[in-house]
Amino acid sequence: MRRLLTILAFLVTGVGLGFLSAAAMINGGPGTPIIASGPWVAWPKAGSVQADPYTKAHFAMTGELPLTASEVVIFHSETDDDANGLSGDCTYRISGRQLPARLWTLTVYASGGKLIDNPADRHSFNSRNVLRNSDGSFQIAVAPEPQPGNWIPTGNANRLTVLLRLFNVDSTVSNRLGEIPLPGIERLRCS
Amino acid sequence: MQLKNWHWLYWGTASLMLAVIVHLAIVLFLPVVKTARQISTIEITGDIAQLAQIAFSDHQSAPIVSFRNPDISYAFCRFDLSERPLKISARFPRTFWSIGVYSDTGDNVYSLNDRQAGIHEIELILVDGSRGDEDAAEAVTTAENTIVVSSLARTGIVIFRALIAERSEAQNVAQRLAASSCEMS
Repeated sequence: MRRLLTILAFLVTGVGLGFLSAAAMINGGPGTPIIASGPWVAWPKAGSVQADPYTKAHFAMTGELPLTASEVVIFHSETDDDANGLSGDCTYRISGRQLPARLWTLTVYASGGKLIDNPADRHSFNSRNVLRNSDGSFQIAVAPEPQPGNWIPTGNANRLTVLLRLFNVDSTVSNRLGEIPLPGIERLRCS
Repeated sequence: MQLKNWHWLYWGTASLMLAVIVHLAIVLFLPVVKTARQISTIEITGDIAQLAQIAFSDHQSAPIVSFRNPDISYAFCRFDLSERPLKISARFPRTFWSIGVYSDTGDNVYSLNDRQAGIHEIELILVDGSRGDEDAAEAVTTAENTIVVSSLARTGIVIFRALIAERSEAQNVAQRLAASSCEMS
């Protein structure tokens, strides 16, 4: 009986440790080749044939089929500037300036990478259609209730993920992605 | 050291070794299993070499392209180069566009965008290069607007992407993409 319990403990410990450590690394744990900047995280080797196994496993898990960084760099965020998880019940202000790329898109998703159904059918803004201030800066409200200006509704979504895609990043920063001044995500209030 | 301590050291080491095996198995086989299954779901909407599109209003396309970008119009076709090459006739609007060739495990083995191409109508011949020893897909321009791509992936998917800068452009962008085609040549 004691030997059986020992073997059971061996299996539970081994499988559990293996599973948890793999999950942590696939989600960008310590030692993975991610670029972190404020609330944003990017996997610079995404899509590449030469990508490391953790990058490939990460995108297999999320279900994305990304282009390589030479075409698009994707920054994910699941938290605000204070590291609180993004929630559909809260109102956020995403503030940014000109980004060093040919164009950009900013999209809000519910968990699982699904677009959020909403009466306005609005899920994103891009560098061509976002309303800007006179100095070129912009603010995007992510909120359950209508907001003036650029507003992305959160519907009834629980957890949110924001993706900022930079298309054809300027060559001056393509090797220094962590230094790009990315938009801030400020939580204003929660219902 | 007492025999009892050796006992725990033995099982502790064995547990760690099992953890390493499980860790590696998950990380290495996830792309093989999950991405391949994801691409195979496209069989529902598109046969081999048949162009299919994702409607702008379709918010439930996650099994095909998770984290779909609503500012991008998508079209795709699956390919199997084991018998014949795939001929792709791509028709894009005059905006940002990209065409990406993916293996069954999600590797982007070839891509081209409007800035690189400099034109908006292009022919691609995708041939099986998986038997070769190339480090990456090799592309050779054979004639004006025609590129031969030696693909490391024998089977996979081609994804067409074109920017929808304004929502009012969505239908025109989709119609332009719909003029593209894939066929086994």
